[in-house]
Amino acid sequence: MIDPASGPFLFDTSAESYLGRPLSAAEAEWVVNYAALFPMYVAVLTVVERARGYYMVIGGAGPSRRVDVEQRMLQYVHSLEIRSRVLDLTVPIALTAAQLMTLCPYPPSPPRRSHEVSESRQDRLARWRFDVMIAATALVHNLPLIHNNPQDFETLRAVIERVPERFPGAGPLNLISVKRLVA
Amino acid sequence: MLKTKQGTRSKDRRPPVRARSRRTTLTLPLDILKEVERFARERRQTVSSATAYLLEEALRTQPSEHTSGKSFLELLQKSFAGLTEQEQMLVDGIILAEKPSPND
Repeated sequence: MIDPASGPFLFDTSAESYLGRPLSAAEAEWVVNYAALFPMYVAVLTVVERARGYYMVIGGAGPSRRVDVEQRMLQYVHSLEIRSRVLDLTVPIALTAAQLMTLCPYPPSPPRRSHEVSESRQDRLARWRFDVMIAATALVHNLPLIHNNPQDFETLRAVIERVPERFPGAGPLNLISVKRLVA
Repeated sequence: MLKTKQGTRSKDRRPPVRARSRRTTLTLPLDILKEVERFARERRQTVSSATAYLLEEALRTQPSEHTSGKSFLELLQKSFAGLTEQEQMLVDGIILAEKPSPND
């Protein structure tokens, strides 16, 4: 567990998802203590990814299920208003993300698969680009990036370390696993 | 540094109604004070009124930290509760579709 006072941190989509699932008492206490000290920083791209998911679920749901999922989505939006600070996509972030996309054009890990379903290559590429923009947000704001997706973000960190001259005034990308952070 | 001066009470005066304001001395960084004075001029307010307004706004937007942290976590967890595994994946940004059959 890392001292909440060592924040603030930027939480990527996978880290926010981890916190949204049932937590141990110690993990929940960590979140409450952290939120007493700092906002829960998230990139606006996380909100896009999340909202797209809710809208897809709502679009494919029957009437009663739709109402329930719409309620869940509103609760997510309300959670952002209470204690989060959403960081916009600015020109410096866009330029940093573009540089990263040039250096790492393709995702370092394959599309997700399970027994009956799989992620298309296009969707995997889109998800990779969201991750790149989230990492660029952390880099430009000089915030440690909390994640639950080590493979992808470690690739970006390594690239930034290899060619720091491409990222003047930014970096290094400080990565912390959400499990190490709160547990 | 904050110094305050309490009003004096005497028997021949009316008992004070609850004080609505109190004179005080604040030590502020010069640049902040200049900004407050500029703000007050623009709004045609006294520096005291402008300072009160700005402090009130800042306090209003400050969350009650412990409560808001708990509420935040509860809302975040409710927002994911009851989703199926595949729905949760979608909300996490992972779009899964049925695999095309080999004949497609």
